[in-house]
Amino acid sequence: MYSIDSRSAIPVYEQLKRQIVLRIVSDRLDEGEKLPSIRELAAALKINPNTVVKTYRQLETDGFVASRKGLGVFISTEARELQGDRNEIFKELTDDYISKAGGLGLKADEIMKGLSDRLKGEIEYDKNE
Amino acid sequence: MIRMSNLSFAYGEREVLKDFNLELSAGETVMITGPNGIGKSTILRLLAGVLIPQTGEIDHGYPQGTDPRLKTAFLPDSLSFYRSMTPLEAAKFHAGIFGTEPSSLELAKKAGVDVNRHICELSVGQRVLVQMAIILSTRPELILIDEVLHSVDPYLRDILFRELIEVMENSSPTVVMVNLNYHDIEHLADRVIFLGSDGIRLDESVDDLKAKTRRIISEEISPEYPVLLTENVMGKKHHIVYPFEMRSGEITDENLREMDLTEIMTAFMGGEYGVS
Repeated sequence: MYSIDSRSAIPVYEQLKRQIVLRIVSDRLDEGEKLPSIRELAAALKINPNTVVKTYRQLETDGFVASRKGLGVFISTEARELQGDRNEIFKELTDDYISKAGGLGLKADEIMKGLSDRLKGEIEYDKNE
Repeated sequence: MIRMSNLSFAYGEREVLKDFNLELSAGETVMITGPNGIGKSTILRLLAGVLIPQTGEIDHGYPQGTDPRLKTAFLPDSLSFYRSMTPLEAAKFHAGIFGTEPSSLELAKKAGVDVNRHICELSVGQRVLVQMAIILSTRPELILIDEVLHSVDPYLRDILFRELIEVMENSSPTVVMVNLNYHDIEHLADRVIFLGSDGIRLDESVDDLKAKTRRIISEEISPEYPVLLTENVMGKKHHIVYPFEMRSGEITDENLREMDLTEIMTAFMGGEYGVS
């Protein structure tokens, strides 16, 4: 389910847009899948219906969805290079991680080592399963 | 577009509004807030046509000869609405005045209301829902909701907001709400108006307001920052700044916080009471 962070200075339409894009690039929303109706989503999140309209319109402009008159809004990403979007989101995640690790007073080589240790652990864990 | 121009209004000797001006765009959702007794409900009553301004005028933007009251759904703060009738009778009576089909009272039924009991025997929350069901059934172009929702329990409030959102989606009415409780409507309102003792103190879109307000946690703060309110929180000084603009070097993300509408409005309110 989508959720809105009331304490964020990022406008609601933008928060919603980012969540939908994240779902598209991580294959949790499939090509051709229908997004919730404006009314459904507005009522569920207690947000202004115009905000949902704005989100859907921007997603359409950006080439993530297509609206079909009277039917609704559907995921449609043919015009979009999703790998690029995925990389962009991954970069943001990484920046966030580095900034938080830096906040703990860690240096670049320590952050690298910590990350690769954890990744190795994960791989071994996967093998044992 | 609704235009309120140079309005003045006094209850007897007590002047509430003086030379008040406000424009509302069609289809927008506006929240009016401010300290008690500042004239918020008076503005709603003037818009509803329940009160007539002593000077100035209100142009609702309808064709000549239209009675704006017939295009308006008004939920006042008093609960005197058709007290001695049953919801069923009230729905018929109301529809008769407006020339529309009586409300199905679906909203009231969801709240477990017996539509054959007298309205005055219902709980406060149920009365609000009956009233809401009836006033929303007249296909209003203007919806005015005074501060009554705090007396409705969270379950019924949820039903009520779903209904309101459905009406907003269906017919894009202009909505004006008077609120002292911001949590429920935080993401419904497009625009916030804060009324202070000198008139409109703030008139901003919610998105802009949130983008421009920050809590700065710092002992010292440059006098260049417009501080609304300074609070002591667990031994630390918090300055609420609006409008905020990042100045290089002085403040880092570490001591900067974004704020929700409740925090922002509380700061405006504190500023109005002269607390700092």
